[in-house]
Amino acid sequence: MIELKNVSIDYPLDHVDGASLKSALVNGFFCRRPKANYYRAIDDVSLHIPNGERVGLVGLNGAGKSTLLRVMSGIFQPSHGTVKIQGRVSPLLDFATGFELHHTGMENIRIRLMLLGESKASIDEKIGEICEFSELGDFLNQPARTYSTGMFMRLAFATSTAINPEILIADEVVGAGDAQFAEKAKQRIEKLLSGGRTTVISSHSMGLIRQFCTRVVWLHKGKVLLDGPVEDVLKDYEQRAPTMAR
Amino acid sequence: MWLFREFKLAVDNFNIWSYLSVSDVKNKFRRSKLGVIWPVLQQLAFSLGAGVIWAAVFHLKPEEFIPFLTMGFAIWGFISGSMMEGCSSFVVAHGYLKQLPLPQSIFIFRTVFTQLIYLAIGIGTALAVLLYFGKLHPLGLFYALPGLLLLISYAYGAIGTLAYLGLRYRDLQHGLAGIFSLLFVITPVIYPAQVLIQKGLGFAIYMNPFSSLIEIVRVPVLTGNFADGSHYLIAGIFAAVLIVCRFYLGSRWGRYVPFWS
Repeated sequence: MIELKNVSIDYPLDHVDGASLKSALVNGFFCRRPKANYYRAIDDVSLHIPNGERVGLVGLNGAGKSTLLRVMSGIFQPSHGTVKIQGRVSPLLDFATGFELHHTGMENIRIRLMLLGESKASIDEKIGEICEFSELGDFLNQPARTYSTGMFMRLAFATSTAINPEILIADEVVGAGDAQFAEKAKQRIEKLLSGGRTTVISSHSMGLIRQFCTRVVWLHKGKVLLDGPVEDVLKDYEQRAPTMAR
Repeated sequence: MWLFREFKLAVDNFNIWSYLSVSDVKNKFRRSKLGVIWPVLQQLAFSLGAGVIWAAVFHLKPEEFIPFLTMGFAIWGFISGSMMEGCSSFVVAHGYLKQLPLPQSIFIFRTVFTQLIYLAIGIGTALAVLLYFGKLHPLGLFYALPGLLLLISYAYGAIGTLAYLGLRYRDLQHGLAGIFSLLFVITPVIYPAQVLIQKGLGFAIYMNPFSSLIEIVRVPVLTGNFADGSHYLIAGIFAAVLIVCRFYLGSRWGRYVPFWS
């Protein structure tokens, strides 16, 4: 169960790259206080997602979909409003980041699964299947920095999708790798999505959403524009979205 | 309350942060055949080389001075390493912090544990040197335990505080590198504190919490007795202040960490 009440997110802009101490000291010396600069990425959103519901999130680029998914995962704390999450969330957001390049593929698989909340027993059980699925063979004992882009994506995909979460939150999951791997990946995603668990996915693929979701939320400029049954929302979205201003 | 919650987090997530630390250490030395022998050799070369020369400069006996120097060097490595690596605790974990809902403390514990592994290697080397020169006191390590506990508390506080500061101010690590090369000179790492006290510069020792942190571990190991009480007090206050800073920053800046990462 996920419940958002009047949630707003003010994204801090001036510190995004990490401000420098030197400039802070200079400002402090001249008693200047630079005004905090925020961008309202999510604006007063209230949503209730009961257990077992599968929700699709649609909207133009920059509508706030990824930010909202991070709020629902418990990564971003809301600037205003409250968030209640019941159940263990495993987010599949940007699964190509968050790997240690100097660690071997095998170590990265273990680390990722531990961080996703899997127990040691379940990791030992899954690791063989993940190694096989990733088709990396002996490269699993090499540091991840030696991998090609395709190998890296296969490792990331195989690991991140090997979980069994109570709540699945996924951002634009698409297949990875060549035609052969993409087919395998598609089946795996479909298996993950068709479990009876609470699911929120964002996607630009209306086909994927029609196939798996029972409800669609249309996000525009950080606000919920429409929220309802799949066909009702998607019909409107496909008609109006292409001509809307971002 | 906060401390208790933090302790519970450490226990609950022990296998995550210990695995991260151990693989950090392993990977650092994976590319070389000698592996973990490298830091040992490096420390030995420095202590023996510098020990012989400086013993001559300061008119000290090499068999007294070299064990002293090796211990000091091992502890100093931990003190400065904690501050320097603390700055990047969250920076290197940005991929995790932005993608997964994790307690930030995991990445603080990871750096503390990594530094502790290096400290263990350093002290192990120093003990071997002590043994070689016949200076190993049987009860020395036992007397050093309270000092070691304070030293670890310092490391936790320093790493926790700097994890937040280093994420917010990305140039902090470079700034600290400069400060620490100065501190290395004014802290009695490579020369005995008595040298300064005899010259009437004792205040430089007692004003400098880093010298207390060294003394509370080094004096017991070398002499088999507790260090001067004031050193425990100074080191304890210093560690407590850092721990308070860590929780203050955690409560004020914690929610911004995923945005800044």
